[in-house]
Amino acid sequence: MQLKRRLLSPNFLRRLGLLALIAGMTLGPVACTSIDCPLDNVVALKCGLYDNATGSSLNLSQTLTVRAGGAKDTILLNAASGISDFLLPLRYGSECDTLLFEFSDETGRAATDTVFLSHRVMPHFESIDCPAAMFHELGGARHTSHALSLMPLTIDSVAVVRKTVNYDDIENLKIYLRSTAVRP
Amino acid sequence: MTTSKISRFIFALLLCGLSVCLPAEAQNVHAEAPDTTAKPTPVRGIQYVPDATYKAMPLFAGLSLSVDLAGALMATVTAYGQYEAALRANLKGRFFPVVEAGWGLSDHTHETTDLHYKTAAPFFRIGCDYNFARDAASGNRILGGLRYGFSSFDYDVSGPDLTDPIWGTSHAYRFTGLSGCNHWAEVCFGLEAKIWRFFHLGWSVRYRLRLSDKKSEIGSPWYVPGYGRNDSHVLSGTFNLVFDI
Repeated sequence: MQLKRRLLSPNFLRRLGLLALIAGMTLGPVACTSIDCPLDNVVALKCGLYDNATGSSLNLSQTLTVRAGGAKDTILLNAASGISDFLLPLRYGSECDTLLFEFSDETGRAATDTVFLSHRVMPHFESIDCPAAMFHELGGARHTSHALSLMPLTIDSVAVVRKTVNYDDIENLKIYLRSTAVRP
Repeated sequence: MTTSKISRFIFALLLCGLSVCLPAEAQNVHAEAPDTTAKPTPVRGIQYVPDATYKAMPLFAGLSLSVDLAGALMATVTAYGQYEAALRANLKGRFFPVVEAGWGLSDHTHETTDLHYKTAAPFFRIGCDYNFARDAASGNRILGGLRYGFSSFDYDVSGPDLTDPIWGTSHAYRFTGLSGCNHWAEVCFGLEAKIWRFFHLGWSVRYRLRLSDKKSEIGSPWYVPGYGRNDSHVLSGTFNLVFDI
């Protein structure tokens, strides 16, 4: 009888309510999480094309195909035209990528330049909710140029402007092109 | 958006908590006030009690030891959690300097990504609570406070081999003994009720703000002992068994 009276007392009921509240307050925040993963776990080198004479961004009127050196039929960029920038994946198992830039035009002229890109592979961990990824840190870039008589567009110089290749959509490489085209 | 929802949820619960606690507080105050009339008349509702009737408390009013059940429950049933205890001093029933120490752990494999994260390390917090309750001697407390937290730890990350999408080569993704070190600040709010003599129950909600985050060669740790998931800020809570000693 005394126990029943104690159980129904206002103080006890308030404490019971308080305990229920405690459980809610404790478990509530624990239950809320948010996941913010990138949609794709493959990162790519962002290259921009520039006119070496003016230094301004160049919209490519010819056709550019980029292949991976040392591999057959590995096309990284296929017959692109009218572009001013593009993305290239880098190799996980090598610290130097050889990229073959094939320029061609509608008259059938074609020539190839080569860009040697040294980079360090950096495995990346974002969260266990997100797939693992490989980032890269660029070292330096070298290139070859062809004679403009073969094809009136060639690589003039290459500059690394951002060393880290990660999920950020920021330009890593500026590729300056030299042309014989008459400018207005 | 999620943080906003959580904030609204917490705010609503805090209001509910206050509405439950404050009437109980007032009633306890009335019950402990000394009789000033020969024939006490029954009273109802919240009564005004002058400050002079509250018991004065000494500067050092004792120590208490507490353990957190919420962290232990999380360690048992979720991907991470912590076992922690706190030693707290009672200064005049108002100020409660506190030292918290614990062992945070995670040993979890994600069901979708197959990434495995493992750590087990100690953490420490130091800070002070203030009791906002009108009657500091009642044993029922409304606590607000600040903490500084710190943990230095090692962790392991492993997962399926990474395959180069162009060249098709596989590369191992296993890292052990990665080093992490985080510092953070906490703003706490909590309620505590005296259940029986030296035994109290209480909860606290904590907003944690990361002050520094040491990255390893592959990135930031996913779980930081004592902090939780390694975001720039997190909400967390404790459910404490408090023993006056």
